[in-house]
Amino acid sequence: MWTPIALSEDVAAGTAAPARLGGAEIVLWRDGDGLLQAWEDRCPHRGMRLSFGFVREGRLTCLYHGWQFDASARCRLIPAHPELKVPGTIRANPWHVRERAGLVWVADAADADALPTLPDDTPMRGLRSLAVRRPRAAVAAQTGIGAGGWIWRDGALIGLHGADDATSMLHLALPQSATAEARRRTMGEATALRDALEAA
Amino acid sequence: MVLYVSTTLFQHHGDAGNECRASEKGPDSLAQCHRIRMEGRFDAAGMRRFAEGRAALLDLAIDTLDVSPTRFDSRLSGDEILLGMFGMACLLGPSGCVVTRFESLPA
Ligand code: FES
Repeated sequence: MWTPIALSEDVAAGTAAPARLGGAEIVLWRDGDGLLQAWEDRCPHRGMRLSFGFVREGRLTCLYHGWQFDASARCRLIPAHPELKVPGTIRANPWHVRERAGLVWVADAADADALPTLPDDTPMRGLRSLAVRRPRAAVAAQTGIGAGGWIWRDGALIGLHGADDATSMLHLALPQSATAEARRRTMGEATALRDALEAA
Repeated sequence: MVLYVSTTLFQHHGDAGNECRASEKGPDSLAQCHRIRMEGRFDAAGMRRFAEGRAALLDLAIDTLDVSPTRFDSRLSGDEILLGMFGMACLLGPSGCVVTRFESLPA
């Protein structure tokens, strides 16, 4: 099952960012060319959050002892032992990740075909992610967002995921052609929706 | 708490007596064999899970010989540096496991 968990533009090239999905901690990171990865946010060495790390030369480097992981999630360098040929068993735990319609989607089982059908001919741009202090099921019930985790509303794409038992995230995207006025209006409507959901 | 480490963790002992046969870890490996004994207060199943999981992560072959709430005894083979990392990970240990004595001897 693919779930939208962030706006594409919230993970800049050469940076790492944390996300949570159903309590699971995930690091999203891009290399300098913009290639996106999603991994468990936990270094296999001593458990430091990889989202605290930094990206250099196509590798995510753990902040604690500097272990470096390449795009295949394999550890390629342990700075304390630069001569060591690092075994392939030392690796981060990757999620499947895709970008579509301005959003980042992740899945813990491979099935690219299961990505929700979205109009490829409408290039989308992320607008904003909003935290809602309500469980995902409650938000889904009140907004009509189905199991796929997204809905079209008034020309905007709204993605939904549960960060943990008590908090949900709404992710908004609009066609790239949307005017500044349309973006402002959608932003206002989304904020009002968030407030109504939390007041319910 | 007394923490006893028999030697520098996994220091190279000079002679080839503790080198594993290459066939055990592949032709490229500078494999070493060590007998690792720990004493302390363990959740035995948790300690075993932790040690065997770490060994798998570090591409070490592990033969767990004895596990009890006070003792963990095993034989490991693999790269010397990775054996050192394994020892350090066990000293830090999983939560609920306290290592008070650690021995690493060439096997
Ligand atoms: S915890 Fe990541 S390199 Fe040590």
